[in-house]
Formats: sequence, C-alpha cells, structure tokens
Amino acid sequence: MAELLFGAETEYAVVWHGFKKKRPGEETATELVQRARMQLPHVQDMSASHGVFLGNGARLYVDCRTHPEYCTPECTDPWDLVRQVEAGHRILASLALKARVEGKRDKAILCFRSNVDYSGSFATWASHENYQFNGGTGELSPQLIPHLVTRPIYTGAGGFHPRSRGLEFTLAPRLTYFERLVADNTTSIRGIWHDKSESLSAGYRRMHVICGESLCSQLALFLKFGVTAIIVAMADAGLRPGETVQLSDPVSALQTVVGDVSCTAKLPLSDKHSRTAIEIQRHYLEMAEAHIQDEFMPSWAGAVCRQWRVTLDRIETEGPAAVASTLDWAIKLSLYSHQARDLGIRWEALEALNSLLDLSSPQPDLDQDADSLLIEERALRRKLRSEEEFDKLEMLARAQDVDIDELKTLARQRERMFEIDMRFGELGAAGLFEAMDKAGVLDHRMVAEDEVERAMTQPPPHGRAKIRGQVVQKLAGNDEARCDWQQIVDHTNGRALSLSDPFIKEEGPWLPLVNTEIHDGQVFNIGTGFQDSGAASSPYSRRQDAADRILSGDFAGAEVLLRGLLEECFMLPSTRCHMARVLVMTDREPEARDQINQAWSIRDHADTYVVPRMLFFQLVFALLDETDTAGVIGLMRTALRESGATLDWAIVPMLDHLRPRIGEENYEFLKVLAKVLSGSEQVLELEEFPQWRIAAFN
Amino acid sequence: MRFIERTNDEQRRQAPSGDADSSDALDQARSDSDRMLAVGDEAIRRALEGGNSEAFLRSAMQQGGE
Repeated sequence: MAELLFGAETEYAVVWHGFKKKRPGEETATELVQRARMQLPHVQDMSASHGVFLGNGARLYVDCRTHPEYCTPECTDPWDLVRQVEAGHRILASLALKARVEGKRDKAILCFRSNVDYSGSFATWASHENYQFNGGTGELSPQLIPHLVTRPIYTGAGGFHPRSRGLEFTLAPRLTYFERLVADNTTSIRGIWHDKSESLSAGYRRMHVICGESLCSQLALFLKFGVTAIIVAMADAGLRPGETVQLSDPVSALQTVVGDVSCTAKLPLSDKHSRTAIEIQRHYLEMAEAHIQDEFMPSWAGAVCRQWRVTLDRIETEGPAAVASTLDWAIKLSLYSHQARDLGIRWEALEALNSLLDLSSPQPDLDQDADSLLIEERALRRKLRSEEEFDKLEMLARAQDVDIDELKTLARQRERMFEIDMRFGELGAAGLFEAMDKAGVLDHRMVAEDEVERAMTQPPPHGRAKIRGQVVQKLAGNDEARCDWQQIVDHTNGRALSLSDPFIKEEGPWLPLVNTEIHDGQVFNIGTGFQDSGAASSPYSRRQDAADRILSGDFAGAEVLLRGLLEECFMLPSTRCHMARVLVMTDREPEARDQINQAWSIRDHADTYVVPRMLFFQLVFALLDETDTAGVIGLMRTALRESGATLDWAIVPMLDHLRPRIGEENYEFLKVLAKVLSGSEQVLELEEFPQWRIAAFN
Repeated sequence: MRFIERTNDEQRRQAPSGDADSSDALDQARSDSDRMLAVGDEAIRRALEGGNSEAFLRSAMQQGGE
C-alpha cells in the first residue's frame, strides 16, 4: 500500500484580555513565540526571526506580523494529523496560560480557533492543508475542485456570514470570501484552487489547499484530511474521480453549498444535469471504495471510507440534527438557534429580518483600503442600531409583516452572537466547544487524550518529521542551530542534514558545512566549497558573489556573473532584479527597465519576496518619469500582505545614487519602503506618507 | 493499527422495531439534545458574563494576514 504525506497550518486569533490599552496582534503573537523559546525544546526557524521548530517536528512562528501560526509536522495517516492539530491547540493554550500576568488572574492572553473576523475588518484567519503528490499524471484541479466545493457539508466550521447586515448562518463563514476559481494569492483574492507550486521536498509536489477552516470536531478534521488525501491519491494515480461531476460554476456552487444547511440544494453540472453536495460526495466515495485495495491507496483508506459513508448517510437521512453533536457547523446551528430564541429572535424569521437590514445598508466594498473599509463599516453598523434607522425601516417592516421590535433585537444582539461564535473555538477550559466536550455532550472524538498529550512533545512515527523532531530534541539549546522543512544546519559543529526526502527513515549523513550549500531545501555537496567564484562553482555561489560585488562597487564583475546566470536561465525573476540594480548604478536605466519588464512577465515563477522588489523598481521608474504611482503602490500594498514578502535587501545605495533625480520627499518614502521590504520596518510606518495612504489595494 | 477506531457508530442503537422503541429513541435523542443545549447555554453565560461584545470583537481584530 502507498504512503501519503500531509500536514496542516492553523492561524490563531489572539487577544490581550483585561488590559485597558489594546496591544497589537504582533506583540501578543511574539510574546507567545518567545514563551515557546523559553519553555519548549526547539531549534530556531531558519526563515523567520520569530519562529521555532519544536521537538514534535512542528513549526511555530509569527505570521504576517499579526498572529501566531502553528504548522503541524508531516503525517502519514489522518489520526496522526488530528493528534498533531490538537497538540498545536494545546501548545498554544499552554503558552497563553503561562503568559498570564502573575498575580493578576483577570489579565491573560486568549487564543481562538477562529475563521473570520467579525470586527468589521473583513479579514480571516486561515487554516491551510498540504498534500504531497507525485504529479506525473496531469492536472489535479479538475479532479479535486468538485470535492473542495462540496466537502463543507462535513468540513464547515459553521458561523455567520461576515458580510451580511443581519445574522445569516452559514456552513463555512470563511469560504464566503472565495470568489475566484483559481488564484495564487491567499489574502485579498482567494481561489478555490490555490495555484502555488512550492514543493518543499525533492521529487514530489505539494497541493496547497486554502479553502478550508479551523475545526474543533476531531471527526470533521479526520474526514477533511483523510478524504481529501484519498482523492488526491486517486487523481495522482491517473484516475479521474472528478470527471463526471464537473460543476458548471464552481464558485457559485460553493456559495450555494455553504448557504444551505439542509444540504439538499441542487448544483448544476457541466453536463446539464445537477446533483446535491451529498450526491457528489457519494460519487467520490464510491470510486474510493471500488479502488480500496489498489496499490496507490493507503492502508487506512477503508477506515476513512467507513466514517465518510456513515456521515453522509446521517446527514442525508436525518438532516443537521443527526450530526448536531458531531460536526462543527451542526453543533453551532443547534446552539446558536437556541441562543437566538432566548434573546427574542426567531431563527425562522431571520431571512426576512436580514433582507430588511440588507436593504438598509450597502454591502461593504472589499476593494477599498483596509483602514477606510473598517471606518466605513463601523459607521454603518452604528447606523444600523440607531432609532432613526429603525424609524425608516418601520414602514418596510410593516409591509413585510416583520416585527420591528424583533428587528431591533437582532440589530443590537448581532455582536453578541458574533462573540459567541469566536468563543466557541477559544482554546482552554473557557472555550464553548471545550466546555461542552468536557461535559460529555459531544460525540466527535477520534484519538485518545494521552496520544494528544504525547504529540505535544513527540513527532509522528514516520517520515522526515520523525527525524526532524528527534534532531530538534538533541540540538535544543544550541543557539547556532537552524531548521526549516527540508534541512537542519548545526553551525556549532559545521554540518548540515538534508531532509529533502520526505520519507527519510534515519538520520544522516550530516555533510560538512564547508563543502555544503543549501538552496531550495536541498543540501548540495559542491566539493570545492563556497570560496570558489569561478565558472566551476554553483549558480547560487555565483549569484551571491555578484550581490557582494554590487555592494562593494565592482559593477563590471557583478555584470559578468549575472549575464552568465541569465544565459543559464537561473532563477530569472530575481537574477533580473540583481541585473537591474547593476544597470541603474551604471546609468543604463532603459536596460534596467527592460530587465524589470521581463522579470514582471514571469512573476508567477518568482519567490514571494521578489514580487515587491519588482514593484519597487517600477515605482522608482514611475517617480523618475513623474507619472501616476497609485496603481503600482496599490499592487505593492497587496503584495506586502503575503507571507514571506520581505527579506533582507541592500537597495539603499541605489536610492542614494538616484537621490538627486527623485527628490527628497520621494527619497524618504522609498527609503522607508526599502526598509519595509527588508523586514526591518513595519508596513504601518508607510502610513505617514500620503502617496501610500491614498493608494487602494490592487 | 495504531489508531483508535471510532466506535460510537457500532454502538448506536439498532433501528427501532416498533412504536414503543421508536418513542423511547426519540425521547432519548431529545433528552441528549436538551442536555447539550443546557451545557452550551451555561458555557456561553460564563464566557460572556459582564463583557461587552463590541469591545471584545475590536480587541480580537485581525490586523493583516489572511
């Protein structure tokens, strides 16, 4: 039977509770990660200054400078992955508890498994999945998209539509933001299919799923990972499980699925027929069951299929009530409708009440600048609760036979219901899900309590995560060690360990650092070492040599090296940026512009941090031309929202060179922007510049 | 196998064979549901006690990211 590998990433909402002065998310997230560095065996993260790899093989770091993110180690079965996700929750909860201010029990850090922000920012907290595949059999996306669209019937977190003016229950609140079929972005423009090609291993590819949610139910987690992994395995083996259930409009179908708590809505297919989400899931299930003994299937596929079938049967025959103690969305539906009734809001009247409130205020325009959006949204929310607004709505309410007092109650209790939804996923004993689970009224568990405790400190038993965890435990306390997904570098002993083979069975061999280079996750033995900058050395060495020569003013030497690399088509987007720098410094600006134009045309192949650099050059050229910069600044604002958008960059000497031509005001702006791109300043620092403030996100 | 098989489905009651069984099963389901809601209501009361939901949501605002 085949071995599969998959993992999960969870972003947590964090709150400093009980303090009069609000603390930024970054400060809170950093506090938690620093606690991890003080209290848990770890090795420092190679690529994030505020990050660690833990003894269980997981990664904990501050993402987007706002929130903690926990990435599980790679697992080979869905039980292990459920354990590791649960272990992440426990680790965060434990760090938050330890950060509690001594002697002040009411002051604490609270952490939440939340999916959408109800404060008016319209941001979300992500929960991504990763599935390894071989990728030799064509496109996965057509085979997976019908599954991703219909799986919310068991993977939905439940909650409220964040853009409704009233209170609209949805199976999956975060998925209401998915308005594209395919996108390579994870923040502003989200696609059902995430077009990201970052393997993080040698010889395999990685499917990165962003249209999922943080879940509390272990059964829901188990099905999310297990079923999706099985479908990936079938598609990767050359089967076409999605072929006869192609949706005519997947984006529209996704919104239908998440808005339909009965799970009975018909979804139009490309072949002019239509099927319900349950029927499409049954189609995948039946194909999986037919191939359960095939070589490409994992040994655990039968167990997953049994749970999958039971869950679909229950929803189909008895509706949401049959899973009301089992799946996140159904537990919430039962609990929230009961709460609403207690507050004086009839659940069955919500549709009419919501439509009145929707009529009263426009939908938010998510394309505008985040700060403007927040200000406008909060003003609209205040207006929706004002007596003047109710006076205006009274006539309409009467005409539609809606009770105006019930409407007032709804408008005034929305925030309470939103808080309940956040509190549902709060980590620790006060969280609603955890309190209900502890009382024994839920029926969702898939793994034993002691196994979760063990997963907090021990890696999964197979694959490179096992080796990573073991080595991290051995190197813990070594400040000169660094780790990422594909290697561990021990500078104290001058050696590096490659983990690029995801199924590595034992540690070693460690390669001496003097003869080793680490690039794109692979440890290369290059024989003659770093010092050789001649034609025989690796392209990485030559590019580093070129960068060093640029800094030392040897532009001719840098140009020779860079032209050689361009001929070899070596990492073209970033090499062209290096070349543009040389050309600007040697006053060959038209050629520099050409390099940036060529780099921009292949930006889809660029590392995340290279895109803002291309935009930086475009901005410099626009300022030199005295043309409108709003468009390119808007693109920059969006690009900087991406994780990994910044990396140390010595571009200020180029700005100094151009200073007489671009003027003092622009120079100061670009200098701060350069620091932001280098990761040494926060994006917020740019808000003092009007050209940044007025540019909309693009 | 290293995992714990989920057993509650196997342990679920068999399909009711008559009206009396059906009525008992329904009563049990209602009772379970009522208990779950009572526990949930109490947890909500404790979690939100004395708080201000609007202020809470503001304090939890996601300032970037995804």
